[in-house]
Amino acid sequence: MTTTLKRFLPWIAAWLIATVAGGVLLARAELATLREAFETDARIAHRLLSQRAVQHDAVLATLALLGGPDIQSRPEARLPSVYPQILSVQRRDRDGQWAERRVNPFEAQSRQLRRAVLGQIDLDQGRFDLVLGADPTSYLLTIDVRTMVPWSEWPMDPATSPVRVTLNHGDQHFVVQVGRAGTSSAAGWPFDFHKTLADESQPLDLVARRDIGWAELPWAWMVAWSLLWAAVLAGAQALLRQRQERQRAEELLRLGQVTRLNTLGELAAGMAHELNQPLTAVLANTQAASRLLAEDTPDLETVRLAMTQAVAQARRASDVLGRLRRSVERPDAGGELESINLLDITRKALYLLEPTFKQHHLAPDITMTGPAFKVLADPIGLEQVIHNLLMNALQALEQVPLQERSLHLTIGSTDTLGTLTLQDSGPGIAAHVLPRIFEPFFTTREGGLGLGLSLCETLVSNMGGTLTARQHSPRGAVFEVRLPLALLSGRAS
Amino acid sequence: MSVQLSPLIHLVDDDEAVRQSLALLISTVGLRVQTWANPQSFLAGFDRQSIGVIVLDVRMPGIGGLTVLDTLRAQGVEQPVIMLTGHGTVGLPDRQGHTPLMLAKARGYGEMVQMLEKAGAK
Repeated sequence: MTTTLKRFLPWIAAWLIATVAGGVLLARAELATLREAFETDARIAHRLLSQRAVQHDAVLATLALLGGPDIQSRPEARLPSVYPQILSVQRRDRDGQWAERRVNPFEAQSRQLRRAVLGQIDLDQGRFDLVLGADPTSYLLTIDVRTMVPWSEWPMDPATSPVRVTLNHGDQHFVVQVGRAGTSSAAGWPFDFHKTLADESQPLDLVARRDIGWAELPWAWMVAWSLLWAAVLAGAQALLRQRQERQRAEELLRLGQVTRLNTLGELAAGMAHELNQPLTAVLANTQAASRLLAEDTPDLETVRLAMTQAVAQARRASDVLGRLRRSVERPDAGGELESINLLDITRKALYLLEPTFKQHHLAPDITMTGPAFKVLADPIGLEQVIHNLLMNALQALEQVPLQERSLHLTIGSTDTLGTLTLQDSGPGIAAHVLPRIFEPFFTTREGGLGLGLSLCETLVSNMGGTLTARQHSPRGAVFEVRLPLALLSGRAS
Repeated sequence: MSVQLSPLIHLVDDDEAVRQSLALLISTVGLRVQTWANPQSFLAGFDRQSIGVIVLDVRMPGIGGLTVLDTLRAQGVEQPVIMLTGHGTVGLPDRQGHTPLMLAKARGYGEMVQMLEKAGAK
C-alpha cells in the first residue's frame, strides 16, 4: 500500500501542480474577460447618461432662447410629452417669482456661472432639479432619473445583469440597476467603475460595481483541464511502467542466461572431479599391471587383481556419466505437445529479442505464405529453438557491415508439415562445417559452448520434426524448422 | 638397494580405488608406500623422521591438501610434497615460499613415478 503510494506520489504531485497552475491561469483569463466586459458596459452606461445630461442643458438653453413672457405658445408645457424624463417645467419671468423661494439661490448661482446648475436634489426619490437663470425668463426642469436612462440602448439587461449601477450625489444615491453586487459572499473579486457624468451642470457620479463570486469561475474548463492532465500523466506513467517492466524482463532473461552458464560451469567442474577419480585408478592399475608384466617373473595374481580393479573403475566412470545424463534429462522428455500457431510463437520470440535487434540495427521481417495453420509442438521448447536460431543469426550478422545485414523469416506449410525458415545475410556456413553443425560441443565461435544448435536439433527431433541447415546463394545461411501439422498428427496417432 | 633403506612414500587420498591403485603402482617401482584414508589420521600418525615423499590429493573432504601442506611446513616437516590436482591447477606457494610439485591426475603415472624416484633419491 505504502509502496504503491510512494510510486504514484510524484505523479499525483505533478498532476496537482498542473491542475492548480492551469486552474489559476484559466481563472485569471476568465476574470480578465469578465473585467473587460464589465468596463465596456460601464463606459457605455456612462456615455449614455452623459448624453442625456447634455440634452437637458440643450433643452434649457433652447427654452431660454425662445422663451419670454410675451410668448403665448408656452413651449415648455409640451416638453414632458416629448421628453418623458422631464417631469415638470417651472419658469420665472423677470418680474415674477418662483413657486418656491428656495430656488432663488440656485438661480443666482446659475447666473453667476453662466450655465445651468443642479437645484433641489432628491436622488432617493429618483429626481433632481436643473435650474438655468436667464433673461427674460429663468427655467427649472424637474428630471426623473429612471426615465432619463435610455433603456433601449442600455448595454445590460437590468433584470438579470449582475452589475449594480447607481447614480450618486453626495450621500444620496439612486439605484439605476440592482445587480447582484454585495449579495454574494465576501470572498471573490470586486470590479469597480466610478466616473462623474461628462456634463458640467449635472456632476452626478456613475458608480458601477460587480462582484465575481467563486461560482462564476470557469469550473467546467478547470475540471476538463485537470482531467486532461490526469489522462496525459496516467498515459505517461503507464508507458514508463511498461518500459520498466520490459527492461526488467530483459534483465531477468540475461540473468537466466548467466545462471544457466554458471550452472553449466559448476556441472562441468563436478563432472571432471567425479570422472578424475576412476580414471586415475584405471590408469594407475593398468600402468602397475604393465610394469609387473615386464618383470622376469611376473606376479600374475597381482596383475589380475589390478586389471579387475581397472575394469571396475572404468565401470564406475561409465556410471558417473549415466547418472549425470539422467539428472539433466527432463522427466517429461520433450515436454507436452500442443497445437501451436507457428506465426504467433515466432512473433513472440521476435518481440523478446526486439531490443537486441534494434541495438544491432537489424529489422527482421516475417513473410507468411499460405493460410494460417497450427503445428504440434512443445511451446517452451519451440520458443527456445526459435530464440536460439535468432541469436545464432544475430551473431552471424555481427560479422558483416551494417548495410548488408538482413534477416528474413518465412512461414509456410505443406500437406503434412509446417515450416519456419530463417535466412540471414551473414557469412554463411563453410562446407567443412555443415556436416558437423548440429554436433554437441562443436563450435566455430570463440568462447562458444557449441551446445545451442545441438540443443535445437534435439528439441525439434523430440517434437517429431526436423531442423536442417544449408548455405544460401550467394551468401548467408538458411535454417529450416519442420514440424508436423497439428490436425494431421492428431489423425495419425 | 635394501628394502629397509628405500624411501617411504606417504599417500593421502580419500578415494579408496585411487589410493589402492596408486599404492600398487608405487610398489611396482620398488618404493615403500604407506596409505592414509584421510588427512587427519595422516597428520596424527605419520613418522616425521622417515625419509621419503608425501603425496597429497588437493581435493579432500574436511581438510584440503594445501591446508595439510601448510600444517606440515608449519611443523617443520621438510619432506618433498607432490600435490595431485584434478585439473591443471597452478601450485600455490606454501608459507616458506616453496611451490610444491603439482601433478595433474589421470595424466599418466610414468611422470609421477619419475618424480617419486627423483624426490626419494635426494
